[in-house]
Amino acid sequence: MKRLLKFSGNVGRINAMNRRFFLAVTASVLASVILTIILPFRLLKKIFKIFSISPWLNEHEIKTLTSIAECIYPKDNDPGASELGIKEYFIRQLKTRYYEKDLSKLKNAVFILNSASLSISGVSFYQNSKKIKGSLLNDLAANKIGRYRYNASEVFSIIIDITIEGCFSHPIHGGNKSKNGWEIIKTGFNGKWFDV
Amino acid sequence: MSEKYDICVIGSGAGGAPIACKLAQKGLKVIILERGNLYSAKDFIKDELTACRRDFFFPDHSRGLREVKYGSNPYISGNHLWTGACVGGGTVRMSGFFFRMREEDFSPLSNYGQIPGATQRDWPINYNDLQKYYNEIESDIGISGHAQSIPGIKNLIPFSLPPLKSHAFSILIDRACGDMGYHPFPTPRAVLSRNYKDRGECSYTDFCGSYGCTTGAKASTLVTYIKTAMETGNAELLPNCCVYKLECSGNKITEAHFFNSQDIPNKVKARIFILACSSIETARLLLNSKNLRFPHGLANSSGQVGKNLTFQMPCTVTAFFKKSILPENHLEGSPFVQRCLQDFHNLESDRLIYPRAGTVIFLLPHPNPINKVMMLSFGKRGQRIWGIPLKQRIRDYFNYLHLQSDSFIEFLPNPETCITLSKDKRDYWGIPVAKISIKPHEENLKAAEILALKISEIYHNMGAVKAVYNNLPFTAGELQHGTCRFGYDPQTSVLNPLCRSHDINNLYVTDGSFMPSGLPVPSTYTIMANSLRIADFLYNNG
Repeated sequence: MKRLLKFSGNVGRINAMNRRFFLAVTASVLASVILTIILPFRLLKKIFKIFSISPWLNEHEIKTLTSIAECIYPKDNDPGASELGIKEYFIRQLKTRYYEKDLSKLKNAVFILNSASLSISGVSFYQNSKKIKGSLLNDLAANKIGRYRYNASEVFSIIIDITIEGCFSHPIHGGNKSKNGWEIIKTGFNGKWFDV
Repeated sequence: MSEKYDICVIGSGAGGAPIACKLAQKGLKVIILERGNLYSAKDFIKDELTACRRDFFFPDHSRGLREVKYGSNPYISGNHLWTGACVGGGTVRMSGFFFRMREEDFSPLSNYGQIPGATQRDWPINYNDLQKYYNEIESDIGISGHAQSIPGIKNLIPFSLPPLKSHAFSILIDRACGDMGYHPFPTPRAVLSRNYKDRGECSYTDFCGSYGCTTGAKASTLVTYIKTAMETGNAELLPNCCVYKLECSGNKITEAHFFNSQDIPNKVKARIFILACSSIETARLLLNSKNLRFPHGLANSSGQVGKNLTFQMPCTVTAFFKKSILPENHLEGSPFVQRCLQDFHNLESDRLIYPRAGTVIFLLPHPNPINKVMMLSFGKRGQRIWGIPLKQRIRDYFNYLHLQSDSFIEFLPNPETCITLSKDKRDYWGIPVAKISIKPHEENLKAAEILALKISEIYHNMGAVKAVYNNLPFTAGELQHGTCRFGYDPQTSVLNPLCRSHDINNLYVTDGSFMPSGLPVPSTYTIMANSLRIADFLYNNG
């Protein structure tokens, strides 16, 4: 019995040592993971947020969307979307909660268009001629471009809606610079101008 | 909140504010729970994006989530069909078209019989029961119009205020309609044409419907009944409080549970509870408050809660005129056309079993550029139009002057237009959302087509180049009725003729839910008058 007790005591001491060793190793591994992966990742995210044009869209995506908007509402005798400040509208508005649910769809559309553009002409969408851009947008609207996570024509419709908002909303929202978007409808405007 | 109130009113719009005010004026302790914000005049900016396209007047996507199905289309999710979620409710953004019902409007079943596929019922009250309260509303808030020219209503007392100034189109309408034997008259409006009591007259900006009024001329309940209620010292208003459940003990409601502005659950006790959250939300609250005694929804032993939902059947016809038809400065007088017709309450036609339509109101199209261009970016087959073709469409459209008619056709209640609860969708607070099915009755669709033709004839007689019927297959959600219809029979109605639940002794419903049929007029005036009627009863009967 004494031998048994002595043996179990020794085993207990050994087990206690193993437990401590195990806990020490686990803690070290966790600390390493936190210090080397998670913290830097969060730091990087913060840095990206500060220096990117938009927290949600990078410069290339904004350029592509602006180019799409110019195709949707082009310049002719009246200003087009670019001249009306659609880029500023995108930068200010697309990061608001009103477009939260649309953002990933827009990013995906941009990706699809640029991929298609690269395979056709070797350049990004916004670097193409008007003709090629128009053709690519027609294909997007008809769900004919590659494999797409969302309904492409529905997303194109969303981009049209946002472009119209950007060109015809009050300038306080970032677009419709100097109310020039309203020039095309001025002769048909029934009431007093918006005064915000 | 352990303090007990006499009256708890849930909703501060057309149905809730008048009754809250009158009972507070009589000395009762009233609490008003409103899910939306409390705004003041300085908050109402004339910005289309803010006021009409975002969540200024409506709950956001997560707080206001609903599922809606139009006809046989699949359900879509979003913050659809909200009248207005702010103190004052839909009255803050209404156009203020205030019409009384006629005697015949109270008996659609007796007058026309049971229409196959429709569930309309006679009202258990008549015009005489509401007349006194229509008058009281008119005196309280001020209605601008010419009472003597309104057809079909006897003994109408003159309005306190003359009609609002009319746009030049009104002269052409009068001439054309007169030639055709119709009887146009100035549209009665809950918008002040002169200073009235402590509110100033209209400033004629044309940002009326869909916008808050910056001068207080428009008689939203915010600037009328809510204001008066707060001045009594007997009313307490809690904005940003969303009621999600009514607790019941036996056949009495004991508490209303709500999330306050910090999303913290809270509750209020009262002797009497009055629901006025609009037909969809009132039904949703009752269905979500089910318990062991009422497994199909509170106060729903009839099974009728959520059923018989009606809207305003739309019939919008837009006329295009050459610009030379009016002088260049035609807008300087007034942006309000201020003409309406009630010659089509009865619409005789071989095509119709139910020969009813409703009030036609002429107005200039809404001055919202985004909405207009958005409309022009859709082709006839629903395809999107963009690029130079879109710009050309915009120019072509604005080469003309436009006149629009909105019609308020009596929507037939039917089994396929109703609300239930979603089985899988929850709102921000985890409460099941409303699942709304809308299918206008075939008779209403035919009536809309026939009426559109008649209106087009008027336009052509005025000299229009063309008239376009905006054949939308679904309705706007601003005017909602049904879902808790009143009647004598507890088996076929939710409320008794005094809008008290058949099942729950201290529960009243005073929004449009009580209506057992659609209306051929905008319903706001009637909802407010009925709210005063119930206030009178409650005060006189403890």
